[in-house]
Amino acid sequence: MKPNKKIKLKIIVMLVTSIVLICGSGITYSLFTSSTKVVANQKIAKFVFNAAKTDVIELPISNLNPGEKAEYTFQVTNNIDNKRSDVTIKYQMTIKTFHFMPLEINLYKENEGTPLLTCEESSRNTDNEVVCNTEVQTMDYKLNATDNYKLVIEFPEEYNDDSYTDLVDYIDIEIKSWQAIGGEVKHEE
Amino acid sequence: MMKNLLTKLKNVSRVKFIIVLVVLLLAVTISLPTLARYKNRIDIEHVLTTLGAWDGTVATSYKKGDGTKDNPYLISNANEFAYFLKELENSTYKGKYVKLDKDIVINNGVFKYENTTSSYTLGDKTVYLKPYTNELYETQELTNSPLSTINQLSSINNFEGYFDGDYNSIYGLYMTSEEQDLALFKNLSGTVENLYLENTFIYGGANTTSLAANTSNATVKDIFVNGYVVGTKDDYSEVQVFEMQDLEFIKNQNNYTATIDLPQVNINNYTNIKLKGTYTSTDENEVLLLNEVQIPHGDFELDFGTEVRYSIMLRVKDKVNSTINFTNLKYEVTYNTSYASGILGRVSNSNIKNLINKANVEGNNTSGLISVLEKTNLENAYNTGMIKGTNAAGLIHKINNSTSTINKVYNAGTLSGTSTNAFFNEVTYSQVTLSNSFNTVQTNATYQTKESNVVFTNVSDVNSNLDNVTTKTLDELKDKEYLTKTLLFNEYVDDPSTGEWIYESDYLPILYFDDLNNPVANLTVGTYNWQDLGFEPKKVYFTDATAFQISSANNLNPIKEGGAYYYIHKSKTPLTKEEMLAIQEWTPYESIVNLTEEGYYTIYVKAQDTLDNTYYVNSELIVLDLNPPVAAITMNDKKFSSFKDNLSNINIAEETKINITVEDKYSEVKELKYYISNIFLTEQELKDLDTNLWQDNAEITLNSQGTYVVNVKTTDEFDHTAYFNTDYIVFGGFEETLNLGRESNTYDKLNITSNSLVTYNFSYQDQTKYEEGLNNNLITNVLLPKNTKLTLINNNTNEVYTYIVPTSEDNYNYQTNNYATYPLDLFTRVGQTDNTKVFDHKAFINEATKNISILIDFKNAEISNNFTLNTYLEMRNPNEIILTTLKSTIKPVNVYKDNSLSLVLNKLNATETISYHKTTVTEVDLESYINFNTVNNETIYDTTTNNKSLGIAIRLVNSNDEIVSKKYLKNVLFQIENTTYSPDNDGIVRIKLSNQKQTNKLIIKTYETDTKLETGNYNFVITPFLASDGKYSSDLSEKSITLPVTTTKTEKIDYGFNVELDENDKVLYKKQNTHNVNVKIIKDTTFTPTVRVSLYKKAELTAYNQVYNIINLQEVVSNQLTEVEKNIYTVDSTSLDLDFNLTKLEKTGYELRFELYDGSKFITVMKKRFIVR
Repeated sequence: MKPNKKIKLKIIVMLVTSIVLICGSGITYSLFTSSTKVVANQKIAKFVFNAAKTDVIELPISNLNPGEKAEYTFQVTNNIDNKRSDVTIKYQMTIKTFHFMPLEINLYKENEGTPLLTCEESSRNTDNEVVCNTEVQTMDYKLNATDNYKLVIEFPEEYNDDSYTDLVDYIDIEIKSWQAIGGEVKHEE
Repeated sequence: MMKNLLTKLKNVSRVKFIIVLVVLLLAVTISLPTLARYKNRIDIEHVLTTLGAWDGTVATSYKKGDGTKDNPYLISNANEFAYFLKELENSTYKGKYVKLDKDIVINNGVFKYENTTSSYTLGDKTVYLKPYTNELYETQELTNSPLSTINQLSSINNFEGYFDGDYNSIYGLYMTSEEQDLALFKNLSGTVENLYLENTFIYGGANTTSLAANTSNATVKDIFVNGYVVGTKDDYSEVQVFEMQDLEFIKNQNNYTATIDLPQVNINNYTNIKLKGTYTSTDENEVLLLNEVQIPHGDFELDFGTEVRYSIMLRVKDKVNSTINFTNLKYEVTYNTSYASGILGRVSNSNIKNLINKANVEGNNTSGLISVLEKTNLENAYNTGMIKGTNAAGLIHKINNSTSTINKVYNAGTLSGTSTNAFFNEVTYSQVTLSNSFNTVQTNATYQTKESNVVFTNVSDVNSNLDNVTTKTLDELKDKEYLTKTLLFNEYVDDPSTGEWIYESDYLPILYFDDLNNPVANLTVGTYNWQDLGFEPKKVYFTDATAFQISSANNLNPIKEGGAYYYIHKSKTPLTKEEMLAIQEWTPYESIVNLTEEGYYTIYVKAQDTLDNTYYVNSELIVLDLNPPVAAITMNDKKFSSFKDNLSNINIAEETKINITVEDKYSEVKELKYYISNIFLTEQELKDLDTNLWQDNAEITLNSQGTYVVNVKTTDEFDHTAYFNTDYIVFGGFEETLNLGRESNTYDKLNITSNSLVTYNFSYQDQTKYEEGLNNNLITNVLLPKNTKLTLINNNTNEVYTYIVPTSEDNYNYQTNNYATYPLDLFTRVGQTDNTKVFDHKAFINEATKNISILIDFKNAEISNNFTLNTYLEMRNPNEIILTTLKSTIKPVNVYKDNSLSLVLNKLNATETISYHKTTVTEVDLESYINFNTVNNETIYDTTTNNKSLGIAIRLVNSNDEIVSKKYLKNVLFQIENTTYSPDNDGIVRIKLSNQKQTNKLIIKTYETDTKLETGNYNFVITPFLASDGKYSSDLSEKSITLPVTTTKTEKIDYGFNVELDENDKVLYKKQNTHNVNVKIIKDTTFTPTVRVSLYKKAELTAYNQVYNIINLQEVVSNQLTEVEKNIYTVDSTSLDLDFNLTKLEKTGYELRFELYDGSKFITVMKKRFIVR
């Protein structure tokens, strides 16, 4: 007879993290995953030019226990294989999640101590998602530019409780980009 | 002197002075008619100049009045007089009072009748009037077309009212007709007095006179007539109307006869008798004879010729039960006589006194005063007109059927005709006493009598041959002593009660209202001229500066050198005679004296002739009205009485009434109107304003927000117009809203406890800009208690300021003002490192949209008594309030120092002891609410409860009241409606309830599971609390409900149970519409297990609430499931396929629950969660 299965105290979380690229134009992104708990590193590079589509990249399931955190690093660049976008690009990142887990979500730009974006429950959109936007970033066509970002997701220790077992949630990162012309901004859909 | 005078005047005044001087000089040169005046009667020339003749139109009302004695109808011009005549077409005005307010000019040319020719002179042009018409012709021959016409009036038929001429004139009255009776009043039964008929021309008629043709039961007094009265018809008819008595028919064979009695009539000098009437019968074929003459059905006339009848015979042939009627019966007697007199025609049973006739009278039987007098006395009268006729009498043509006394009368008018008599032509059937009377002209006849007796007492004549009439010379008849002592013509001194007669040297006496014969001094003011004294002056108006002059009125008896003096009396009340005689400060008159200031004046003149006789003259009451009426627009304590070009702002914060009053000291206000604009209008723009926009004066109420300027226009009766305006009246202010607590809410009563908080919000949009000295203050009707915390939030800038009342002392001017003032710069900024930054009035005032909230928190305040708080915001400078709070938005709130409240939790049903380790369901009906205090059945709210929710905390405690750990609570479930609740980490189950009174059914389910809880007695303790989220609060009420719980050891059961859900089934995408989920169920038991499945949906979209509520699984899957309990289904195999219809699922989290049962005994549950996105 098998012993009684104890209800595990650790949280089994399915966290689907994806980076969604929207309206990519002249930028590339690279996604790395590395953290104390991330299962595998992945580096994904893709060059999108005048695109009007979305891409979804799914990461493998991550398990997080209370007191643990996961980090995902990615790059956004305007050049690849010696080819550079010939237009100045503006882009903005958006985090979307159900936030059914009491996670602390912070987005950092490389080597910066303070997060570029802290995503908390505020308002929800019509899909019941919590939506958080960064400020608009700019990449000048004259120079090769690469922006490195790190998404840090942490499960606070204080939520070590049965009610938080077997939770399922997701985090999307959307990157929306458009061409900047002089003083005007061309936003290509 | 004149040159010096001129050089001293400024240019404008100089021009005016010169104009006045020229007018005066011209007046003297042209020799205005200087008729002497009784009581300073206004020069008719002035009336002609200013009023002009009647334009022929009829007014639509009187000037004013309601026809009562105290408020008579006032007639101020010919148009209103014409309206009076029109009114009398439908009424006799019995009981009504009418009064002339001014002279009435019907025609302004001068009539003359001489040698059968009627002429009309206007200015220097004389034209000729065609008899019985109003047509004017170029020549006496009346050839060619008429040049024009004059105004002609018709007689007033019947008048029974009171007509007071108030010593005003009807000038230029022209009446002509071939009708029998011709006069201003045809039939008078009322009262007419105090009237002048000047320049009168009455032409035609058989009973012709000026004032009234037939007078009976009337009063006529103080009447003056001049002009011409010409009677032309020879025949005069008298009609007696009578009614038919009942006919008594005598039958004779087939003839029916009856007698009709006729009225008795005077049969002297008659020429014809007629019977007229209307005959009707029910038998249309009837033949009726009157006096053997067949008369037709309907109107008939029988001419009897000269035959006098007292009855006539009526005969009907073959009368067959008919009904005969005679109506409108008239017995008409025509006499071969006609009358013409100066004032009255036929008079009977009346009161006649004080008559003056100066009109020339022509006709058949003519007289100076009255044609026929019956049953009436006469006193104080005289005639000076020329009386011409077949039979001409100085005073009365005939006295008939009377016992009459005629006293103090005389004739001085020339008489001409076949028969001329001094006093009367005929006396018939009468007893007459003539006393204290005289005649001064030649006569050639003696009066005729018939069955009469005439007694003469104190009667004199220049050439009488009558018995008992004393012959006197003209000079003797002018002797004042004789007249006053013997004839008792008492002298008029101050008023008619002393005597009616005025004496001038070498003149016959005149009645007090006649014109003087021999004035000495002229007092001329403008175009007015006076030569006499009067102590009941009327008002004469001047609308420009004027001047007065004194001159001699008689070259034969001039004012001696230096003998003219004047006294200017500036008052509305003239002097009495005694006061005038007592004047010491007479100013010697040297030259024209100017009157330039507005006001009331009576000018008194003392003049001495060469014999040092002293004469007094005075003006009427001169009203120098130079200015338009002054309006006063009052609003609260503000008053506006001028026209301003630069308007300031006045703020009002509540409905406000505005009153407008007007005053003109010297003339009547003709018009007072107002117009409300929202911008400034210049005087020219107001003048150009559409007249329909001006409103009649009434109380104005400003009752809605906006900017207003009240404009007022005043006009006096001389069309002086002025405009007035107010400042901008800005109805606006802060709108105050009051909330109990911090949030917006609605309470029926505003009562709070003393640990509560109120929030006032003040908002206003305006363009006020900051100026030095402007401040904003919070005003309260009571001193706020010490430690009251005030928080100010500028809702535009999100700046927050606070002030804590530091003292209970009156540092806020409460004693002085009866309200406390808290300047907003008492508040200091929070959230700043520099805490000394105070509220910035300037920045706030410059905000176009002002919106601040002030929270008054009494939680720490030292409140010892209940009080009512009224609060508002104002903006002001040191002198006045610029802006305040709309009064209608200020609401009082009552603060009660007792701040207790209680949480109520009642168990409404009985329950049994719960066996903890067994499967049980216990239902507990719980009633819960927050119990506020009340006063007079009104709730006193505690705002600290506003952001708190009522909840219950459920603890399982042991016999030592220690809380049982959560680990022992795995087999118990708490549920209210569809929501289940689990214990928090501290072992307490917290459930949020409503603050409103309600009853909830708490279901406590226990399952048969060995939780390892020690055997013993326990209690579920349910306690109400208030918490911000309805869950977590350390303030638990003392009152709790206790449910006893017992525990027993349970039998240990070994089993294995697991449920596996594929990773790919944990995130479902709605775009797929359907998704199949396959669940593996692993069971390993020693008993026959049954598995139940149910679906739960996440209760709240948050990470911080992991409550799931059961929903119906069958509704979201296409599989057919077997229900074992509501929303709970059995699973019969080791796997479960669920085909989810994703269109039925929302984008949220879900939980599948798989319960393991041993029969009906619950063993355990496995939960699998997934999300739909």
